[in-house]
Amino acid sequence: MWLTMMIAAILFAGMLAALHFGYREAEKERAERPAADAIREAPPVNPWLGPQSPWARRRTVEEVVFEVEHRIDADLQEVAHLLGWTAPENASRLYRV
Amino acid sequence: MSALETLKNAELFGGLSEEQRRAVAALAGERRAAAGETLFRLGESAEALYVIRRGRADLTFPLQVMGETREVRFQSLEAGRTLAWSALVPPHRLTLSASATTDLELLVMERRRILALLDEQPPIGQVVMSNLAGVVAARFHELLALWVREVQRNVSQTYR
Repeated sequence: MWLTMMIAAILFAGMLAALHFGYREAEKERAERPAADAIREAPPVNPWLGPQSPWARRRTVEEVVFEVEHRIDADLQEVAHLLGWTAPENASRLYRV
Repeated sequence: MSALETLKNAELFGGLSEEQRRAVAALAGERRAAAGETLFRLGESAEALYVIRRGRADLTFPLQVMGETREVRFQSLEAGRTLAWSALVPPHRLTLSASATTDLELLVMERRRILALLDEQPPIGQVVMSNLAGVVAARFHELLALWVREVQRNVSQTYR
């Protein structure tokens, strides 16, 4: 009984040590890699998520144009606010009351 | 609304005296455009300057979306705003396209005639050019801020 427990404990400690040293080795390798390589070899975006996923609804051209215009409009409104412009001509179209 | 009243409230002609406004109004014609009508396109030569009297116009630029070219709105302008100020600034190339969003009434000034007036009457030229600098500076600030935001978005997305 005691012998079995000791063997299990030794195996468990060995497993922890292997994990620790393996992790350290991987971290060291990653730290030594040039930043440019790290950026170039960045993991690809998960193809099953986001707008490119196979089940994502395909957008129409009109929807994309609407989104772009909406974004420009929202940005312009915020920019006008940040620049302290209060003249009505600088208010955005979508958010104008 | 008369041409004089329109000019009184126009961003480019604010600060002119009554007499000076009359001189400008004397060379202004009228143009009407139906909703949806294109007034001018980006890259064309700016042969005239427009002031919106009534209605609304969109400034747009062409964008490729999924293989199709679409005009995307950058800004909407209403009464008193100027269209095609490139007519006053060499090389007189239009930097955006414009189309009528609603039925539109415009004052139109031929480039040749308005430039001649500004040349002949320096006090008018000084006021108009000063106002124009404000209009162009506002556009510059807007575009600069939008550009910085786009760069920041790209950097944030690329280097997460």
